[in-house]
Amino acid sequence: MRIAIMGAGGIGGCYGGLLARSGNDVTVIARGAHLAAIREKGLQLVQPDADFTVDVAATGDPSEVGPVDLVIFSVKGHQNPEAVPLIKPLVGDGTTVLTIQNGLGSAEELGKVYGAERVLPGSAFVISNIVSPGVVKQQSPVPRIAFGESNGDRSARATAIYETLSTAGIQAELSDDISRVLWSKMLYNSPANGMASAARLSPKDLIETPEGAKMFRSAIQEVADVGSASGVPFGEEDVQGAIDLITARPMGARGSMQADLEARRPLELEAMVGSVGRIGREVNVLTPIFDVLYTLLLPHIDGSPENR
Amino acid sequence: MRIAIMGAGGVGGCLGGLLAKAGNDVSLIVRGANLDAIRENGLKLVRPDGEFVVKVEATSDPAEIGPVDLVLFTVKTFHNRHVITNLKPLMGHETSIITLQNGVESHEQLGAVLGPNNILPGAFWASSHILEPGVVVEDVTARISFGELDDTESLRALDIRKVFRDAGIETELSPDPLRVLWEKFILLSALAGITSAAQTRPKELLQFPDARKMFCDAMEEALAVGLAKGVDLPTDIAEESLKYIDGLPDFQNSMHSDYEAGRATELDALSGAVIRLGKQIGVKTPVHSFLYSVLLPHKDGVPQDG
Repeated sequence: MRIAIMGAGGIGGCYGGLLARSGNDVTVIARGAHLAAIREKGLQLVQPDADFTVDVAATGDPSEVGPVDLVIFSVKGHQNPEAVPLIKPLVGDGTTVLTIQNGLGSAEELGKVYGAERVLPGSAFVISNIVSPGVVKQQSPVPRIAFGESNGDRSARATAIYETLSTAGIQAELSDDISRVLWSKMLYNSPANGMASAARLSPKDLIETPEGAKMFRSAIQEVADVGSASGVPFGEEDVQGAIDLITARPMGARGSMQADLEARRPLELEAMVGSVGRIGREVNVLTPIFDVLYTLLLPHIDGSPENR
Repeated sequence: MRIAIMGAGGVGGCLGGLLAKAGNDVSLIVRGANLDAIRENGLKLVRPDGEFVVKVEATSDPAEIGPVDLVLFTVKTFHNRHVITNLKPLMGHETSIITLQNGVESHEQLGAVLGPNNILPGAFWASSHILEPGVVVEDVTARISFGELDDTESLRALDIRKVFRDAGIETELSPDPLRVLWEKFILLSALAGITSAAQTRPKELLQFPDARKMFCDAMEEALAVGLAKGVDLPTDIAEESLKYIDGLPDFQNSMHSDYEAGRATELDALSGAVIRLGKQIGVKTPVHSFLYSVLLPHKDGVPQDG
């Protein structure tokens, strides 16, 4: 399959490396030192139990690539104003854009530009980051991805993508309720990143304090209430499930937004935190904790000037 | 006047220097490098309009000092549980104590151990800090307000005011010191909590409308607690405090500085007290509860090397 990875950071780089190794024609769209390193030495993926380098095409300019079968859209949400129009040359009549961005609005945003029928919403479940230019380290044991047609159909294109991903060693789930998948990730990921960022502490360290646990539960409940009011019902067991997930995280493991905050890079605050309050207001659900989280983190949304 | 100052940090050092320079018999109770430096070189105070060095008694053991006329209690609030009983050797029949700590609970904590009649609640406004051992910098001229709990203009309070004023310290004898404490507390608890959790200085943070609202919400919570406790407080205090902060030059709140530097913070005396007192009296404090939950893990600071 002809595949372009828009945003070959930790997650895009991990999927891109695996897809290239299994014989797909992969081009990664990257920038700066990372791009130069991939061009020179290939893309190196360090996995918990493996380490390989693949030769992939790499460019900063999608017009050099032309239309592909699949675009995996994996840039950070705050880069969308630049990145969404940039992929235009990659999108032809037969192209599917699979977005795995955090938050809930990505598929809609891409659909407005490229047509909703071309876009598949998805979600990445892997902890992976760039450790040095050209080198991506996958921290979690098995890279997972969930995606599906918005209407739940098992379409031919979705099935083909599923097979391609599975063959590459990515644990793929073709979901008939992708909206629920995205919300379920929000349910733990937004509180984990938001609360831990505000506390400058790992989610697990914070949730192990009684006050932190109480606040975490309330924050998760807010996401559950907004989701429920938006047509994705969550119950008590889902809230507990999210708490259990955060409690089970290895001590010290930070969410991606928290890592960005610590490194003073731009934050995915809108997708991770702002969206909960925004959707809450649309469906008349109060989100006092997420409002406070947004307020406290907003001064840091653009990172430090040298990282923009 | 014979004066002992418990805690010669920014606040105590500044007041001690001025009172000693004016001829009072001042003893500082300090520890560590600060004690060594003051013993060896005297106490140096760097003021907006000049600097001076003054010789003062300094010791870590109040028993060496014995009873005094006045104790100024200026340690950080998180030391209270250990140091209040250490004040006993300083107490004679006529000894007064002015508490100049942040928060609104100090006079009760000291009163419980030492008897309530000796305690005059007070508040201190200034920006002063220890530059290096034995050297205190006063960035903004110090101002004090204190008074008797029963709102009398007692002779002892008038005497103390005179001593302070003679030392060049702007001093107000307040008929309602609790109101003074609460006014400072309402502003400070909100400012300290929010700027620490946002890791952002007030000038920058208060450019954001959401932050202004959150700051006011937090002040309203503490105001509601104070009013429920029967303190006579102006209901427009949030609005007035916001104006006041807007009018200040760029600065960093001291709890934010302590947090950033990995030192212990006064969280328990600020947001912690808003929540604690709110619970006692049935007032909800969601913003302070949130701030407390994310700042609590850092309240003891990080262990320092050496």
